[in-house]
Amino acid sequence: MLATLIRTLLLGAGAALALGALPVRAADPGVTDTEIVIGLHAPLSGPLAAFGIDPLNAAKMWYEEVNKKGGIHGRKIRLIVEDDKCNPNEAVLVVKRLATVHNVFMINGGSCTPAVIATQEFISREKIPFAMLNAAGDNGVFPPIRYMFGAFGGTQRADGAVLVEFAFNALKARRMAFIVHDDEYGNAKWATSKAVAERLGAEAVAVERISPRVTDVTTPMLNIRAARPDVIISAAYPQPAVLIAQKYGEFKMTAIPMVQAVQGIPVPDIFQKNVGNDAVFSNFYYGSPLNDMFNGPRQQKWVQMYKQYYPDRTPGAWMAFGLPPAMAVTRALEKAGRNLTREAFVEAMETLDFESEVFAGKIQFAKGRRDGMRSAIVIRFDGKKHTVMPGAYAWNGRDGM
Amino acid sequence: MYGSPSYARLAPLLALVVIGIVLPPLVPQYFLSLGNTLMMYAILAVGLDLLLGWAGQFAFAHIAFYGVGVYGTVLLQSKLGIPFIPGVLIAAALAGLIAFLIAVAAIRLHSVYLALATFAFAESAQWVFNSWEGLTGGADGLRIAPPSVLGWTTGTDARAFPVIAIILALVIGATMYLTRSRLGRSLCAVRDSEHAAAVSGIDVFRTRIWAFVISGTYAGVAGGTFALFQSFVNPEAFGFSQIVLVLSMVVVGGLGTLPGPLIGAVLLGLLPEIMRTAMRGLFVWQELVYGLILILSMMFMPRGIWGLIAARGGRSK
Repeated sequence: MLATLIRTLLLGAGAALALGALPVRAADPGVTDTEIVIGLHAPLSGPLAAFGIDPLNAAKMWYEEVNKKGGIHGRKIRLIVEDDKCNPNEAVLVVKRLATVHNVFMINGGSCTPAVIATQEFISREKIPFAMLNAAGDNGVFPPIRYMFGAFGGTQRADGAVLVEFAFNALKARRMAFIVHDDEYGNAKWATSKAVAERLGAEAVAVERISPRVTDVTTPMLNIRAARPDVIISAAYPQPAVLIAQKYGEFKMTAIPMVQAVQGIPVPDIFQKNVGNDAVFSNFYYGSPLNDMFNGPRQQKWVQMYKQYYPDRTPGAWMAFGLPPAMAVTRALEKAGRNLTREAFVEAMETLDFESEVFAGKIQFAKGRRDGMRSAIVIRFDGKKHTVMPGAYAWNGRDGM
Repeated sequence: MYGSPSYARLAPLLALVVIGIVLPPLVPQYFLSLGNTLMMYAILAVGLDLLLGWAGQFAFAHIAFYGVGVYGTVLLQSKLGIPFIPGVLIAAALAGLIAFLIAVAAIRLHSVYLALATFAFAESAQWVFNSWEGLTGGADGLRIAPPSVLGWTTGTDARAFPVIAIILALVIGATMYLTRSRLGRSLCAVRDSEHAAAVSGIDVFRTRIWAFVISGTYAGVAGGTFALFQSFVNPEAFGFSQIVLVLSMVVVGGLGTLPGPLIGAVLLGLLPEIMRTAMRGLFVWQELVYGLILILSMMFMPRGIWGLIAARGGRSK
């Protein structure tokens, strides 16, 4: 009896030793001894492809750079790329495909908030780490859920807060007019803009909610002119932003400073050309989460790298937005160690605190925080020259919540 | 063609239910999710075909009734605690009621005027979904809690799959009976010639109204199935592109037939996934491919794929 017990114990110990001698191999999907499989998705076709192609290419470029340097803990990163068209239903299918057909370790994707939010339930249920690409993702990170990290370029809440802070402190505006869209993006932007204005003691003298598909902004702009604001803060998308700027010039409102959120002016030169009236730019500012103008010296390192990888493409400012999420992923993979699991990766993501050299502020996460960055700069554009205004502005994480 | 369908015709529905029960443990969630989507589109397309193909009413409000079904089912559950089955029935009835009101208002309109009026309704419904934030969540969207069907919680694709398969089987079965009924014959008569139908003693207005109501109710049921396997809804799901997609399913599959919209739903529902995998280089041209399929289908298969199959079958006999 005793001999049998001893034999069993020895056998068990031998088996344990033998197993211990095997190469380290994590149990989670998408990780082998030699590679880590990451799913990337963004709108690569359809009307919103401009928001996705360059950021996704930039993320690919970063992963490729990491692979060139030997990978992470001896493993190379292999990417599976999918197109979600910024459509919530397609994004859900894409994420399920990445997770259950390609068995990726984690997902780095999404350029539009609704598309990202639609995947949340699946991500949480299946416990798959998810780092957004360039989606602002307000409703994806507030309230925070364990497996979803995002807003690397700042949430819309952060962006709205920053523009109001700038208008109040730098332009000394006390009577503010706002133009925001009547969608999820506009709701989030307006939530903090309003809260920050109230905290600072500024008055919202006009608030115009417009459709993203608006084709004429005469009435909202006349309402704003009638309200006699000290500043106009526009959070419009590119096409409506052009219409707003045209009416701003046409109605001779240029004595009032105009502050445009970055979403409306992805490529300033094209914006200027579309507006077609240089008088508009006599008192014109735009926000940016980048640490410099896109053609400024601090961004050139990334622009040049991108041109080497993709010589046929001329990148817009969105390109840089794809880098910090990929940087965060590779840093967390490093931190999680060789014995990589999804849970270890999430815990590593939660400890990240680094300068991306891309954005105006640090990328920071914590146990109860899933929005990565809260800062922005403001740039003055006079139609010829872009000038970064002194100081960086940051959202305190409380206003508008 | 008239009277109750034979058991042989109903047998595939039993097969559909069996597949719905057997398949989930065997395939990855992605395929089940895709299957759920296709089945939902099939219900939507069959409903639209009743109005468009069987009754000949050129109307575009279908996607709005679908939205009423989605939001109705979800909100009845989340706000009033009404379980899925009564919830989807109430939501479908509400969609049918709204369809009735639209039909009464638009009953004197035909062809392009009816299309424009119903398209305007679809657009205004989307505006309501977008603007009624207190109820629908507006543009921020609405999270959907997993519904429970007779104690069977459908939080995952695998658990929703058999339920949707059963609903689709019931819808197809109901359509078989409907299209073989007196009302079904009346729909065809009104489509072929309203004057001839009226002379034959068919109440044309009432028949047209029934077509709208039944079609709207089907769309409401399709909306209810959406709530079974999706966890989030926002008004983008009820836009113009969806109208075009469902219309394409019906036209490409074959107007005025039961297999036609089912084939169209499967084909056009699978197309983006096929392009995503087998023809990756073409995926960015998806919209163009849709357009080409629609144009070529109208040019060379005016009766759709099923029409072509049926014609070839007829010749071979």
